[in-house]
This record gives sequence, C-alpha cells and structure tokens, in this order.
Amino acid sequence: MCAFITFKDVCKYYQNGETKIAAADHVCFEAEKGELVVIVGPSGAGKTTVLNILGGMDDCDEGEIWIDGSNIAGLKARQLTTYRRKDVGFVFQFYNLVQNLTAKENVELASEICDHPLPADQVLAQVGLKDRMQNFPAQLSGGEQQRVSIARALAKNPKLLLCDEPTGALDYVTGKQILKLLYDTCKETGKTVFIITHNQAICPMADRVIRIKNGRVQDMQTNLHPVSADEIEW
Amino acid sequence: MKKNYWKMVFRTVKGSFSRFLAIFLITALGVGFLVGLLCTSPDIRSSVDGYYDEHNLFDLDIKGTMGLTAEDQQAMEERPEVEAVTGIYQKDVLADNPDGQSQVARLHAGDYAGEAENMVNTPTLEEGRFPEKAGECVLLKTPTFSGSFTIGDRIQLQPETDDEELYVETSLEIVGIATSPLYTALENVTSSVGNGIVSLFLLVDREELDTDLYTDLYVTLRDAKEQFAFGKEYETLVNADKDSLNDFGKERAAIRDQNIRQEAEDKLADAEQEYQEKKADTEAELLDARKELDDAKAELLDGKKEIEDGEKEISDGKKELKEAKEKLDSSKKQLDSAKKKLDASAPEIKKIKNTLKNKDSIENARKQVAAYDEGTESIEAARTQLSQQQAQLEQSKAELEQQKQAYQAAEAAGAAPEELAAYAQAIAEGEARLEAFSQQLSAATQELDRNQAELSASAASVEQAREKIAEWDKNYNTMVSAVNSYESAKKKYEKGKKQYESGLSSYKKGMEKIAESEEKLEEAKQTYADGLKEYEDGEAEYVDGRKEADEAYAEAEEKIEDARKEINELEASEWYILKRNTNPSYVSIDGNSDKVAALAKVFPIFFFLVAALVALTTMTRMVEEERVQIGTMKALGYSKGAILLKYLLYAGTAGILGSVAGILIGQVLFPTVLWNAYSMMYSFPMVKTPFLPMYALPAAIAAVLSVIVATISACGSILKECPSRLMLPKAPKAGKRIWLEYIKPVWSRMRFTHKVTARNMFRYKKRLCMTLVGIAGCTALLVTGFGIRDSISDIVEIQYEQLQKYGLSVGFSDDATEQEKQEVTSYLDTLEASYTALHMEQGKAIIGDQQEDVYLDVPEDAAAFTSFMTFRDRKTQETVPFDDNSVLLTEKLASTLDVHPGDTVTIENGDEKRFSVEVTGIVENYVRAFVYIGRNAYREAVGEDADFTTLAVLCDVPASEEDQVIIALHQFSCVGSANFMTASIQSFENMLSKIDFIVIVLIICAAILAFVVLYNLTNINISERQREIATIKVLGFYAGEVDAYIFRETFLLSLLGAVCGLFVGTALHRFVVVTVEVSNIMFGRSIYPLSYLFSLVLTLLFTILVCLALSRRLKKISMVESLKSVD
Repeated sequence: MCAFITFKDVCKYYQNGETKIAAADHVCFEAEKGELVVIVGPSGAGKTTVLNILGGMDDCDEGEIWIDGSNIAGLKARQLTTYRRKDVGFVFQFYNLVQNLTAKENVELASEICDHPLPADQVLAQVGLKDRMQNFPAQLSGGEQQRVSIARALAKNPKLLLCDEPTGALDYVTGKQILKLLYDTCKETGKTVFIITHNQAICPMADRVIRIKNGRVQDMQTNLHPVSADEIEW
Repeated sequence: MKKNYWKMVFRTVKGSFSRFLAIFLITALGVGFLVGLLCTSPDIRSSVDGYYDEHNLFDLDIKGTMGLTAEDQQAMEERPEVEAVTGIYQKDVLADNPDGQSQVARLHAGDYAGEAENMVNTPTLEEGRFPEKAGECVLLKTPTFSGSFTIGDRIQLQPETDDEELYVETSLEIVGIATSPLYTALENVTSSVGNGIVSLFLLVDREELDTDLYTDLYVTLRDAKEQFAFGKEYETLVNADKDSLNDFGKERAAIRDQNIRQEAEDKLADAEQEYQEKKADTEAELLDARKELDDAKAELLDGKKEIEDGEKEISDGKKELKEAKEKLDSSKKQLDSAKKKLDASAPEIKKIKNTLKNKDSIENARKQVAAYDEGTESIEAARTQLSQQQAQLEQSKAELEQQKQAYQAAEAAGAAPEELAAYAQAIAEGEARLEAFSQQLSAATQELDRNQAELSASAASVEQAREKIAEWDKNYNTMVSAVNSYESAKKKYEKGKKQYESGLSSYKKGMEKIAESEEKLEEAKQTYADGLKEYEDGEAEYVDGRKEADEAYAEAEEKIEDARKEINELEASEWYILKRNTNPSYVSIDGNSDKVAALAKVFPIFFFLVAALVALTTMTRMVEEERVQIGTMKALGYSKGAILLKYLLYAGTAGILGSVAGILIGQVLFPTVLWNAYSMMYSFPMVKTPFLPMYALPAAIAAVLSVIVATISACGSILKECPSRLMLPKAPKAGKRIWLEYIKPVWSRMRFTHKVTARNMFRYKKRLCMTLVGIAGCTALLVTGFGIRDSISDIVEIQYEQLQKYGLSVGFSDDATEQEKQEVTSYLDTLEASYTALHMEQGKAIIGDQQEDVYLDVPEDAAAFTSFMTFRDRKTQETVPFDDNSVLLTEKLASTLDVHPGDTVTIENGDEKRFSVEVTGIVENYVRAFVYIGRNAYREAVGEDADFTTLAVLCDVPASEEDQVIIALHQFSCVGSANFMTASIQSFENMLSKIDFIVIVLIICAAILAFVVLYNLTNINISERQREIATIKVLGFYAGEVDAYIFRETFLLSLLGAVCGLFVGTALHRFVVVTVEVSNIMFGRSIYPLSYLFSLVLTLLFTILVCLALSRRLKKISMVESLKSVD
C-alpha cells in the first residue's frame, strides 16, 4: 500500500457474444514516484487496456487501483475525468494535436483546464520548441509534434505521464530523441512516467519493466541501473 | 452497371443513413412546402367551387328597393340567361334569448317544404325536416352560431319593431337543423335591428310572413356552374348577364313603380273618402250639439225672463200689499174712533132700548084696542051674516017644502020606487041639514049676544089703552130714530171692522203668497243657474269638440297631404343586382387563398437554397470520407462518370424520394392544415387535395436538380485528383490564422477556448455559409410569422386606439329632424360621451384610369374632429394639420394612386358627382381608404355644403354594455345605423387567431429547417473531429466542457445566423405584408421588438435542442478513438 501506484487484481472483461474475454486478468503491479516504467507486451496482450485503466479512460471490472493514496477503481465518469484532468498527462502515438491550434495553443488547451499548470512557454522551451511556439501542427515535423504533445502533457503538471507508443509514428532518430526527452523529464521533474510499447528495446532505459501477456502481468522487474536513451538501439 | 456497384451504392446509403435522411428530409421539406403552398389556393378554390355548384349558390342576388313580386320571379325565370330563380323574403327580427336578452334573428321565408332540393342556395338538412307551415322553422348552423338549440325547441319572436306586421306566428318551433351555402363564413352578418349583429338564421315557411313580396331573388345563371367560380371566365359571364339583367330590371322596376303608384293612389283616394265621410259625420254630430246648445240657451233665456217677471210681480205684489197695509192701517184708525163713539153712545141707547122694551105692552094695548074694535066690527059683521043666514034658512025651508011637494007629486005620479026612495032620502037629508042649520043659527045668535056683553065690559080699559098708545106714538119715532142711527153706526162699524179683518187676512194671504213665490223664484233661479252652468259646460265641450275635430281634420289632411306628397315623391324603384362578392365566404375564400398563393412565392426559396446547401455539405463530407475508396476505384479503372454516378445516385435518390414524400405530404398536409385553420371560419366540407402535377412536377424537378448540381460540385475537385494522391489520407486542413487575430485588442482579450471556437468557425467557410443561411432562414421565418401577427395587431392597436379614437358611429336617417337628433345627443350625454358630426359617403378617388373605392369624411368642425381622429405621418409620427380647407388621403390609397401632397386628385362622391381637390397631406391609416375633406374645401369643390348625418362618438362604454347602447340607439327612429368599432376589432382579432395558426406552421417549418441544418452540420463537424474530441476528453475535459468546446461554435454560428435572419426577416416580412394585404386594409409595417426577441430566442432554443440531441453523441465518442491511427 505504500507504493505510489498500485494495481491490485485488476480485471477487465469484454463480452463478445457468448464468450467473456478477459482483457485484463488480475493484473497486479506497482510503481514508485519518479520511476520510468515501461509496460511492454505484444499486440493484443492487454497493455492498452492497462493503459486505459491507468489513464482513467476506462474503468475496471474488479480490483483496486491506488494512485498516490487514492483508489480510482469504481470512480464515476466525472471523477475519472477529474483524475485525468489533474493527475494524468497523456502522450499519444499520433500526437493528437488540434490542427487548428498553434503549438502554444495546443499546450494551453491542456493547461487551461487544470489547477496548477506550468507556463506554456516554459514547457515548450523545455521540450526544445521555443522558436516554434506560434506554428500550426501542419507546419511541424513529427518529432516536433510529439514534443508539443509531451509539452501539452507536462503543462498540466500531472502526477504521472502516460505515453502510448510515443515513438510508434516516428523514425528511429526522432524516436530516440523523444525517448530521451521523456527520460530527462522523468529524472528532472521527478514525475512518474509510463511508457506503453511493444518495443522490447526500450526496456533497458526503464526503472521498472512490466511485461504483459494475455492480459496478465507476466513479470515485473526493477532495473537498478537503467541506461540512457541514447544507448538504446532497435 | 455491375451488381457489386449497386451493392456498394446500397451499402453506402445504409451505412450513412442519417446523411441520406438529411438530404431526404430537407428536399421533402422544401418540396412539400412549395407544393403545399402552391396547391392550397387551387385546392381550396376548387373545393369551394364544387361546394357552391353542389349547393346551387346564387350567381346573382336581386334586391328591389320596393320588394319583388311573383311576376318578377316568373319574368326572371323566362329570361334566357337564367337557369333558376328562388324568391325569398328576408327579414331581421328580434327574438328572445334564453338568458333574457334579445338577439337578432334573420328569417328566410320561402317554400322550403316544397322545393328545398331545387332551390338556389340549396339548404342541406342535417336533422329533422323543413318547415311546412307558419310557426315552424329550421335553424341554420352557421360558423357564427353559438347557441345550443335542438329540434323541438321554440324560439319566441319579439313584437315587430317596424310597422310591417308580417308575423303570422310569434313562436317558432325548430323542426330541423340545416346548413346553407349562404352562410359559410365566420363573419358577423350585420343588421339594422337590435344590437346590429345577426345571431340566429332561421328558415321559415312563406306562410309565416304575411306578404306576397320577395326581398331577394336568388338567381343561378345558365352555364355558370361549368365555370370555375374564382376564374376570369366566370367573372366575364356573370358580368355580361348582370348587364343584360340590369336593363331588364329597369323594365320590371318601372312596372313595379306603376303598380305601387296605383296602389298608393287608390289607398290615398280611399283614405280621402274615409276622411270626408268621417268629417261629415263629425260635422253633423257637432251641428246637433250646437242645436241642442242653442235650444238650451233659448230655454235658459225664457227661464230668465220668467224669473225677471216673477221678480217684478213679487215686487209689484209687495208694493200693492204695502199700499193695502197702509189702507188697512187707516181704516183701523177710523174703526177705532168709530168704536169709541159707539162706546160713548152705548149707555143712552141702552136706556132707550129699555124704554122701547115696553113696546110689547103698548102693542098689547094696541092689540086690545084692535081686538075690541075688531070684536065690535066682527059682531056687526056676524049680525049681518046671521041675518043673511036667517034669510038662507028660510029659503032652504022653502026649497025643502018644494022638494016635499015634488016627492008627494012624484009619489002621487007613481014614480018608480027607487026614484021615490032617492027623493025621500034627499028630503030626509035636507030636513036633517035644515034642522042642524037652524040650531047653528040659534047657537051663533046666543054667542053673539054674549060677546056683545063681554065687549061692553072691557070698553073702559080700552079707553085707557087708547090714551097710552097715543103718548107712545108721539115719542116713539124719535127714540126709534136714535136707536136706529146707533144701530146703523154700529152696523157700519161692524161692517168696517169685518172689512178690515178680511183686508188684513187677505194682506196676510198676499204676504204668504209673495213669500211662496219668492221661494219659487229662488228655486227657479237655482234651476236657471244650474241650467246656465250646464249650458256653459256644454258650450265649452262643444268648443273643445270643435277644436278637436279641427285638429283631427288638420292632422288627417296633413296625413293625406303627406301621402300625396309621398306619392308625388315616390322614387323610382330600382333593382340592385349583386354578385357573389357580397357573400362573405366567397370574398374571403378568394382573398385568403390569394394570400396563401402569395406566400408560396417566397417561403420555399429558403428551403430550396438550404436543400442545395445541405446536399452540398453532406456530399462534400461524404466524398471526403470516401476519398480512399474513390482513389481505389479510380485505380481499379472506374471512370469519373461511374464514380460520380454513385454520388449522384445517392443524392439523387434522396432528392427524388424526398420530393415524392414532400409532394405526397405537402399537397395534402398544407391545404388540409391551412384549411383547418380556416375551417373555424367556414362551414365548408373538407378540402379536396388532388395531385396537381402542374405544381408538383416543376417543384420536384427543381429540387432534384439543385441537389444534383450540389453533388456534382462537391465531387468536382476530388475527381480531378490523381488516384495516388487520393489513396493517401488527406492532410488535415491546415490551421490558419484568421483575420480576427490581427485585431489584437479583441483577440488578446478573448478567452482561449473562444479563440479556438473563432478559428474553427472560419475554418470551413461552406459550412459557415450554410449554417448562416439555414439559421438566418429559420429566424427570418420566425420574424416574418411574428411580424405578420404584429402587423395585424397593429391594425387593431394603432387604428382603433391611436388613430381612430372614437369607438362608436351613429348614422342618422336622411329625414331626421334637428329635434330628433337632439334627442339622440341628449341620450349620448347621459353616457358622458363626446361627439362630433360628420358627413360620410362612399365614393371613388380617381387618377387617370386608376380608381379606388374610398370613404369621404367631411367633418362639420375640423378642429373638433382632430380630437376624435389622429392625423399623423406614419414614419415621422408628426401630426398632419387638418382644417376646413384640408384634403387628406390615407397612406395606402395615396401610394396605390401614387399621390403626393400638392397633387390634384379627382373624387367622385356618392351622387357620382366628380370634382377635383388638391391633396394637402397623407395620413397613417390601416383599415379602408379614406379621403378627409375640410368642409370649406368640400363646399368649394362640390358647390354645396355637406349634410352632417353621422356622429362620431367618443365614449367609455364597457364592451359588455355596448349591445344595450346599440339597442337604445336603434329605439330612436332617426338612427339609421349605430356601430361600435368592437365588431371590426373582433373580426381583426379573429384574423389574428388564424394568423396564429400560420405562425405556428412557420415556427414548425423554421424548427425543422433549423434542426436539419444544425443537426446535419454539427453531425458532420463531430464526425470530422472525432479524434480531436476524444483527445480533449483524454486531456480531462468534463462532458460540459466538451459540449461547450464543440457547441460553442454551433451556438455562435446560430447567433450570427439569427442576427442576419432578423434583417432578412424584416425584409421578408415587408414583402409578405405588402403581398398579402387586401386592398382596403393596410397591415402594420413594423415588427415589435418583442417579436425580434422571440425569433432570436426561439432560434437559439432550436440550437440548444440540437445541441442537446448531439450531446449524447459526443458522450458516446470513446476516448480510445484518440489512440487509433489516422484513417
């Protein structure tokens, strides 16, 4: 119970005709504050379900989810929204920037709605986009867009940062840069960062690796000596 | 095409059904609206035309100023242009209301029992039967009828107010309930009796009214039924026949005149004769009375004379009596003195008398003497006699001896024994008598001797007596004369006294008599006085009678004179031939359907425009969504046409189906719905809604074409691109700065989310446009709907509250006298009303060939009139001056004739006299067309002063008491008409309630428009931005914030569109009002601020409803979407 984040026997079922499929089957894991956690598993293993539940986008059918001392399992939709709003920063595979807004505005879109946002300019500078703040997403490269996406997540000053395949749509070099940014962010700001990926190569840089297969946690290891993102190869 | 191609098309429809539905709906709406509105007018007209034909509604209604006769009817029937004629006597009467008040009933007397089915204006029996005799009636169910009578109820008629006396029965039993084509409109039928509004329509048998005349001949014309009642051909036919019948009417009227004149003259002659006879009678009566009076007078005069005579007599008598009294008094005096004398001489006389009493002894002495003398003489005489008797005895002795010798001789001669016996007896008797005689002689001689002796013894006393007598005789004469004179005096006195007493008594008697006659005279006088009084009374009575008679004569003569005058002044009777335009339902059906037709010109334009826009945006989105598919097909080798065809088929099918649905629904729904709105005003059967291809097909073709054009333009750009590029996902439309950002003060102050909204709004111009047009259209429809209502309520509020302040107009009949008018005004004074006199007539205002019917109002006192009527300019609200020289035209009239102040306009007054006046001003007015002319201006133009026979009355009478006032006013014989404006206000308010329905229809259409447009667009918007929405959800936007993020745009666009709509609506309203208004009414031009507000609020409400509906869809968007890859 002392862990910052605790998943305890979390189950999620999907009804498919007659059969009930467990997307998450008694998932248990924990993570400490300031850790970079990588959840890894093949497609369809249930990692997105875990992400959804952890990100407050979906609720679980059974189990407890303790985040910083409060259980989000069984929260109402509105309470979940509040949780997302205040405690979670989300980085999407496809950046999901609003095309009609400039980089800065996209960041502001998130910071507008939370209590203690970080200044958009500062966060954008932090992710290295000081000069591109006034650009529309269409005018930015993929990496830049993902940086805006990360900035948007960070600006909310969340308790945890959830990144869904952050490098999935990026080329190798840019992907590594983004991973580095995430790593640095984790270390510099002390935020808990979850990276959900199918890419095993990312595991070495994590403080904790959770392997998921068939809706179950196959194993969870803490990595006492994580390597820098620069050193990862795939 | 290939089977799979069709499958694809079909699946596309199935897969995007809401989109298909949007095109379908908007096309259906547009087409339905257009077709519906287009068909309504012809549908209503042809339904009504059918109804009219079925019920033989009159083509012409002939009224005669003197009534019409059976001959007129017959003559009409023989006219070639006439199909059928029905004569009716129509009479408005008062009937008892169940709640005790009176109501106006209109009686139609006709031969219903006999020929109801063949009658012109055939009544349709719903229940019961037609009246067969007096005392029965059929109640007409009209739209204005609100009572609850059933068969068997009785209607009590009140006594006739005019002197017609036509009733046969005053209690009418309802024997049936029917409808009549004459009364099919909810429009009050006015009447000149009671409260002025007919509330009961009754069909009665001809027997119910005691007259041979008709008031109306209802005529159907040959070949008129075949014509469309609202068409030009019908109009032409009826006009032609009316003209020819007009001439015929003149002939008939002339005949009628002659009959009437003859009748009146006969009547007059009768009346005159009667008058003369009566006069003669009266005169004779009067004459008799006079004679009686004269006789009485003569009698009275006689009586008077008698009285006078009596009086004279009495006074004469009195005088006489007085004289007699005087005489009596003097004789009394004399008598008294005579008595005194007598009394004085009485003792002496008594002595004398005593002396004289010795007379007896003297007499005795005298007698003694006389007896002595006599005795002496008688002795001497007796001695002589005795000697004579001695001689006689000797002679008788000698005779006896002779007889004795005769006996002896006879005895001796032997005489018969008997003779001898008689002799012997006679001798014996003689001897006896001789013997008696001789004795007597010896006795007488002895007595003589003794008397001698006695005498000689008394000789001495006789001597003494002789002496005494001698002395007596010596004094006696004196004494006797004294006594005698006393006695005679006494006698005289006695006589005088007796005379006096008798005189006194006769005097007394006279006095009594006088008193008696005086009494009698008094009586006579009384009688006379009575008689006189009676006479005087009689005289007075006579004078009165005379006067009365004279007055009666004068009156009768005057009446006769009047009657004669009337005959002389008998106006030629006239036929008035009225067309159907006097039937309220005919006119208003025509007008109302025109209005609907006019609406059809404008409203559907919106729907077409919007339908095209909806098709355009929908198809654009669809093409974009299927971009990859299009690319694939292109790559597979499908031609552009084939690809286009899919979308054309998709949109075209939606359009065609929509059109069909629109036609099917619209052509039934709109006429039915509008007809239902009108049906409370009419009692026509259901409207028929046939398929009218001439309206439906063009509308459908236009709608489908606009959808197809929109689709082609949506596909155009994509089809030009090469397949490879199409295969790639379309780069999301790049964000762009918008012009608003360059206005720093505004932009910097905007909240962040608002900036987002602003950017998004301008991002898709097509959608912006469509939303603006759709919402503007919606708001404009609402503004128009509410505005029309405002315009009509303006009529009531401005016309009857601000402009025409007087609420009551009272028209005097032409022959009303000043005194009669005074009675009316003093009645009005009791209501604390103020009033002013007007001259009012109907005329025409003419400019060139154009002429308009107008009312000419000439106030008696222009200055006073301005407080009854406000003259002002509508736009500036400034007062337009009006004085005795002014000529003002009402606004609509002026604009129709294009007249401006300073122009000259020709006016034709009621007598068809034309004159020109210069217009001095144009004034605001909404109902009817007026020309207000100052009296001087009128006099100068016409040449004579106007007669002011109408009163404009400003009074504060509660609506509930208006009826009473009207009834009270109609009691004055000089009041020809009395109307409160309430009736007009009422009819406008009725109109308002119809308009309310149209407003509701407009609101519904506006709502559908708003829903289709907003739902469709927002739906597209949401589906396009699904990912974005999912993202912001993940970012932690609350549901409300998500809604706001998306709907703020919709809402703002709506607001913008609505504001535009206010302007468009204002223009549209103006157009509709000008198109819809009928010639004698100007609708208000302005829309109330509240209507704008309502329109705005309703539009936004629709938007909110759409948002609420779509908010569910927003909720359904899963956040997982955000994790998915781009298409």
